[in-house]
Amino acid sequence: MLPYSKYSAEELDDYIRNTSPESVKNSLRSNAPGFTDFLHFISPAAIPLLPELRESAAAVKRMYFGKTIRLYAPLYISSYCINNCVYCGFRSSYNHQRRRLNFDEIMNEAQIIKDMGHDSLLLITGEDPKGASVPFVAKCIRELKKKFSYINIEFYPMNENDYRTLFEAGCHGLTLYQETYDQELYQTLHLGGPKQDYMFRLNALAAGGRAGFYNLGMGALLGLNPNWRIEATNLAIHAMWIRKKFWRSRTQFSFPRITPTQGGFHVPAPVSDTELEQMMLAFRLFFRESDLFLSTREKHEFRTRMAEICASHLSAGSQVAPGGYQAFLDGQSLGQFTMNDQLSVTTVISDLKARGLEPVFKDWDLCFSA
Amino acid sequence: MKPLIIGGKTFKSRLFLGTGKFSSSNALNAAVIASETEMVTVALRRVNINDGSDDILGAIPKNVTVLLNTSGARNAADALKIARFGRAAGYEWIKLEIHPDPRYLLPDPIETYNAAVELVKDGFKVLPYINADPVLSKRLEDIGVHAVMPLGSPIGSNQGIQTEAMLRIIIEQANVPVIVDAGLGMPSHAAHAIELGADAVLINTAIAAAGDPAAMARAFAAAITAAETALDAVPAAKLDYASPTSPLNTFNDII
Repeated sequence: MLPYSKYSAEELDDYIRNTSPESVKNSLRSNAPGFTDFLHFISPAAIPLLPELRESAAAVKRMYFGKTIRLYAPLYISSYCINNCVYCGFRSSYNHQRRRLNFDEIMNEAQIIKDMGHDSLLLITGEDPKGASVPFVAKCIRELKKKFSYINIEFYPMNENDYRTLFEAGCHGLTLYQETYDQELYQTLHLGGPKQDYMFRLNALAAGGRAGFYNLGMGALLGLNPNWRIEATNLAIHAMWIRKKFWRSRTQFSFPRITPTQGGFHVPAPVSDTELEQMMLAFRLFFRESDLFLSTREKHEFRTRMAEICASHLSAGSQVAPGGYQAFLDGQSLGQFTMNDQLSVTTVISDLKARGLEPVFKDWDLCFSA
Repeated sequence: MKPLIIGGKTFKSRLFLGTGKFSSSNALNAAVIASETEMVTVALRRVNINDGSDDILGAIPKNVTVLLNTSGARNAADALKIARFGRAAGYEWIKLEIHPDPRYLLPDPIETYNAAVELVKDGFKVLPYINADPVLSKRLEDIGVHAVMPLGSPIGSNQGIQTEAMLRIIIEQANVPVIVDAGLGMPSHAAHAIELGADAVLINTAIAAAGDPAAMARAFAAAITAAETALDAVPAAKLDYASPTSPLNTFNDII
């Protein structure tokens, strides 16, 4: 359990399992739900009340985001990785074709993404000290800022100084998933490399907060922990702690469901559509103003439905491997994970519009850079 | 009510609109037209300011003043940069909003004051978004801002006027227009602000996120007109706040 929590996982789990439908209904009536209400929303007792949760979450989304949905695209720098994580297509023990992009190749990928209409970029890399060093990435960010209003990174955890270097280069968003908050489980999944250090990873988001990042994104990889409700609870506790310490930073959540990879990983505890939806609704109801992200790991139909009810950010037209955009133009397919929404940005836009949602590409400006 | 003049420009409508959160630029355009507003605020972060074909800017009729807002700025330096970007593209009206707190988007009074000093010096039309703080309001007025925009309740919260006691003091003391901004969720809230003596209101979420934004815009406009007409008609009820001319209180507006 997290060091920030006053209660054990067992106590919280016990409370969640014993929540009554009446408690869920009471929580739905609250105008300012607290953490206890959050526990009610993710409880098994809330399952029959999902239509009510949906309705309340949609009202909260309308209030804070109006009828808009923000779009972004990932850009993979390197699939080299010194970690050995059993669920990942980039794991060091898996002998696949690896690739690290050089500066020009990164700019080429960026231009393809820009040409699709994107203005918000998520930079991703495996833990590759050679191919994605801090000075190299900082140099890329300084150049990418000329093309994109907003840059977010999803990298290996760093110390405060390295984060500050990237922030000052013009990157304003930091995303770092804990993968699982269950420390014992964490150790069994991460078999080699610096990622074995659970606490370094857990504390890195705070290092990013101290470095000044405007947006702090977090998440757990769903499908690893047999108890997703406790995973969600830990994620919420972590976020509350971050929010209290870093009142200037916006908290953001992603809900990555693990998908089969080329490494042949078997998902131990799949999370269903309904369970994922319940989790996202609970986050929308409790973290009312926070951004909720859904990637192309999810099916198109599910994404558009969530965009109406609770999600604020969707990736679109994504390629999930280094050089993937150019390869796609050349008629090939590469990837870190299996994508379920492979539709083009144009199709995603028209489907969102058909549902009365305005796709927003630009919601930041390069004048916010140092 | 006395005419609404901000920065030398006379506004017939006391309703200003925000442009975020609409489902499309058509919906925005329809709401702007239905509201009969003469000024809308646009976040620089949402637009391509030098692009004539920008969706949001393109949806705003030419006769409507664009009040560029500094949303996203977390300190005075950010806000000044935005204003200068704006000026380069021909925008002079700045809604100065600096909210380092991404949860409630509450304005930072210190950074706002510091930025306002510079912007006024640079000759912008400066309308700062502030908490309902009467002293801050006077301090901003002293340095020459063109209006003050105190909040009714947190942005996007649709809670109506929760800061009434302080708003009354701001309105009583102000020598610049007072525009109640943020938190007004229903037309009655807007009418309430005007009845309190506010010069205008700014509405975004309540209109943009409504099922029919254009109809809601008309409803707000009608409520504001109703409140204005009521004040001009001399209310029978004794008002316990700064009131318009009334036969029994002839000397109230002696200055």
